[in-house]
Amino acid sequence: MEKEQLLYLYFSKELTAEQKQRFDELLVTDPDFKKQFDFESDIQNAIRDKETKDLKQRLVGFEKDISQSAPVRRLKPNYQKWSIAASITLLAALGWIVYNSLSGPNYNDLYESNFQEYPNTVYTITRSDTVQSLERDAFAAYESGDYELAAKIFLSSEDKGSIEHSNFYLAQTYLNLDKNRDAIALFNKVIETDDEFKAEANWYLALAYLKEEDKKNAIAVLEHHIENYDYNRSKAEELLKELD
Amino acid sequence: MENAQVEFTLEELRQGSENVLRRVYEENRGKFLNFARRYNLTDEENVDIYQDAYVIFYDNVMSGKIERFTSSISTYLFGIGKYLIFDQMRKNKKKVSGNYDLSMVGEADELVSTLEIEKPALTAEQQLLQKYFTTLGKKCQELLTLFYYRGYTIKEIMEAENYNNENVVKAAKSRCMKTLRERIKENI
Repeated sequence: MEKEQLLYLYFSKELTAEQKQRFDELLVTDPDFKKQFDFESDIQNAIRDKETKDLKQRLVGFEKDISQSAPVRRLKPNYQKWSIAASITLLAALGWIVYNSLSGPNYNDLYESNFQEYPNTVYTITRSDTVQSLERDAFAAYESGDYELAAKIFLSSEDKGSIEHSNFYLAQTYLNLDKNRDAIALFNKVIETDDEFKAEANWYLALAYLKEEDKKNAIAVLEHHIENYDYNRSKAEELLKELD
Repeated sequence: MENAQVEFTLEELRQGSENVLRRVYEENRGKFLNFARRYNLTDEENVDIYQDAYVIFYDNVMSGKIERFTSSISTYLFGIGKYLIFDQMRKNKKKVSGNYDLSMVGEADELVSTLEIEKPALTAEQQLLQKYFTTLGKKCQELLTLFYYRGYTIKEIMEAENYNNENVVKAAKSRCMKTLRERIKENI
């Protein structure tokens, strides 16, 4: 217990001089202590490295935003095509708004017209299913639109890693529950960790930013999407035109 | 007054505020690029160096090496940036006409000498840890990141993440570490 406490104080930078002395002593005399210390230091370095890479990526994103808002940006030859496309989509969007006589902000409409909940492609729920499992419960709740419950089960399964792609579906439920910031964080994580749902997660990440009315990030993510993924690419292109 | 403002900013950075991160980046970018232009590097190299300087600055805020305000944020960024610029120039050596005194790299600002600029590459174990760290649940990743990266104490984690008491946080942390250990064992 004392040793654990010393390690904890070390990493919290709260060792007193006296404790520091004891700590250094143990590092030399107690191999188990040294081993645990090395393990925790390794974790620290691993996390630090990961955060550093993430940060650099984010800065590259900031830079993209900045260069986009700089005055010289469009290639001339494309200008006319773009403006025609933009007017068409603008007209379409206006028509849509008028048609629905909605008075909400534009972002909402864009979100609503583009958002379609991602179907459950992970778990087949059949009526004769008698086996109760977390996975079944979660997707049953998800399919029936009980997002509160679905989120709860996905969350509870998370540490055990028992539901495949649970983060992706949890992020979907967050979107449905208007927890946009949570959805954004989680989609980002899925992009990093779940190869199978990378493209899908990126598309929904753009929609989440849209819902947050965060135009800058929505645009950055959409551009990244068009460059890198086939999934919903034409939708992404269209949406980008409307935002630009 | 200004000091208080900077300390406030540092604290917000430590807490992971995306807005402050962006604001500080944008506020110092123009000044830095102007300053960097005097050294014959390309614009892309300068932007890249600014970003690297920013990453190093941020990392030192997280590790507690920059804890209190002793200079303005831009002084830190310029100091680190200068070091990186010289480093880059040394790498481009052939392109640089001989009249730069590259020996002054070793005497980089006193300020910068208290910081950690270069980090060793990850060892094989650390790479493995990183890989399996990302398979942990969201709560675990958050908890461990707060403790080992953002330098939160157990008490601060308890308050920030709405845990009932410190023991719960400690127990959760032990569980996360155990899971991580097990995942690695299973896969070696």
